[in-house]
Amino acid sequence: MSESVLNTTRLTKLYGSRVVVENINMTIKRGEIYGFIGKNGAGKTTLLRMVTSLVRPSGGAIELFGSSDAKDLQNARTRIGAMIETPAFFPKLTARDNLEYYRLQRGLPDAGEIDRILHSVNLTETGRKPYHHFSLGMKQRLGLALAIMGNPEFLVLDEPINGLDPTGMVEFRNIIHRLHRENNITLLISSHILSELAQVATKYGIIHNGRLLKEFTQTELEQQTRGYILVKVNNAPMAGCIIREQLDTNQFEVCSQEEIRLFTFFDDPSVVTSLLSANGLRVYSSNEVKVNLEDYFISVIEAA
Amino acid sequence: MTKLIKADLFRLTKGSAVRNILLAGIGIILFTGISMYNSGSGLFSVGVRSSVSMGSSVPTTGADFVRQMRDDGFFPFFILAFVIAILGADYSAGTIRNTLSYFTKRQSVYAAKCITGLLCCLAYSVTCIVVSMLLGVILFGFEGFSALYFVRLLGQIVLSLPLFLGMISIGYCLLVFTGKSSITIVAYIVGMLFVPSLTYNLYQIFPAAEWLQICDPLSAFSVVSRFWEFPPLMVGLMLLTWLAIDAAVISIGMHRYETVDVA
Repeated sequence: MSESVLNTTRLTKLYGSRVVVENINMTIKRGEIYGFIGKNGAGKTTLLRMVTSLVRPSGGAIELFGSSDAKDLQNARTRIGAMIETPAFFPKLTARDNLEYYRLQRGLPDAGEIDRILHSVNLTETGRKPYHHFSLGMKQRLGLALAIMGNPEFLVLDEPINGLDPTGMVEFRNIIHRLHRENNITLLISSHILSELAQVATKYGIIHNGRLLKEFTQTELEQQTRGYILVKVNNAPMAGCIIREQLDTNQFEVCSQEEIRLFTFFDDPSVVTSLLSANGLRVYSSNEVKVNLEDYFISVIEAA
Repeated sequence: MTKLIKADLFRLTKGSAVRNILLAGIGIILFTGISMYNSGSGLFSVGVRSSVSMGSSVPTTGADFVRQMRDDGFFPFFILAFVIAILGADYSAGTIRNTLSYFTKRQSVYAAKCITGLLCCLAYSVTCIVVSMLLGVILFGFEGFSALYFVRLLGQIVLSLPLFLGMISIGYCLLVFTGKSSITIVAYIVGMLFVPSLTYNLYQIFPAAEWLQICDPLSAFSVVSRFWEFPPLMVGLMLLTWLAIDAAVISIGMHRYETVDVA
């Protein structure tokens, strides 16, 4: 069983009497890329801030790399790299000077570290350009550069692709993939852009109104979002009986009097339509319906 | 903690804020010196002055000029400028998140920022002494410089440390509580104007506590610049008051820093 990098138990945050994060139990194992999904104000950033010690929990416990007492947590947090919300740097300093400031602050002995991380995020050519003249994509990449300074084992990224253009998103995604592949970094990424998240995450958590509604793996997501063939017939319940008896499968769902969803026969749906017609049913249409992470997210939220 | 100080000093040397403050200090000395030399009055005579320094006259020697420049009513405002440049930048740029997400022992961060501020004040002090000494010698001659003079100058710098630290920690404390440089600046300046009347009223209530009259920042800096002219007990009690202020403000600031949620 792989080592747990982050484990929260009944983690709670209240601002006054308002509950922002409520009893969250979350586990992230080494090597996972955890996609953290939630609407605006759902509590994502607050939870990430608690993990990175920017915000003090009102209740519950955080365990990082197996450490949960205050002193061990302090040391454990130095093994984390974080980018919370918009990257923040000194506006008049260059990328290199900004990173040098944090290298000195963290006491990293190797001055070559800055070249390495600038190269990792494709920011070697910024020269004397001050940070406030950077494009949003460059700022995001500099934020990531700081997050990976000192080879952290766990990266916490809050909305890292917010505001990026499509090229920037692809570039960012490639960097994440490379970091994960080459350094086996564990990642916790929150994002609104679920289509992008779906391309990098190996595990997901959905947060809504401060509560963690569901956690699922990429494999489970694939099962949930495998899509279906929507068949419209004149008598859906009878169609269900025919499919069960003659095709020997239960992978369907009768949705209404005229609609039936098939979760199999994607390769050749005509097998089903022909069978139903041969049994005297009138088949009006059959269409393959795709389900993506957005649809699944909305269905989970609506169910809650 | 030394790593944090080293990093902040690196940033300050790369940025323009501290350099501009130093240049402003030098500019005021040059302007005041030349005005004094030409007309017997200058910015110094119309600038911010405490009641303690009101009786100062136009300098006649280089040493006297340096002493008068040390009795600088603007100094508490320069300290505020240092506070805003050092910690305020962290809040206005949002970089405090980067620091506090890595250094979870926040008291070290707070202490390091205070020490960096103190170093900036010392750098300002030394720069101003060197510049005013050069200008004083050029304009008013070598007269007045002696071994005793330099010992007093050194004593003055040492005795100023509790005042530097107090003013810096008050500024940082305000920043930590408000999280905004603008509110800090206003609160600090209002405080500077309000404290002299507070200490005066306290003295009226407790006439035995004579030293209270010189505890407001402007008067305290003036007293320190001529500490040998005042009764040692009075100077000592004033410094003790400031040390108590230092301890209280640093303690409150650190506690707040340790527990505050960072937006």
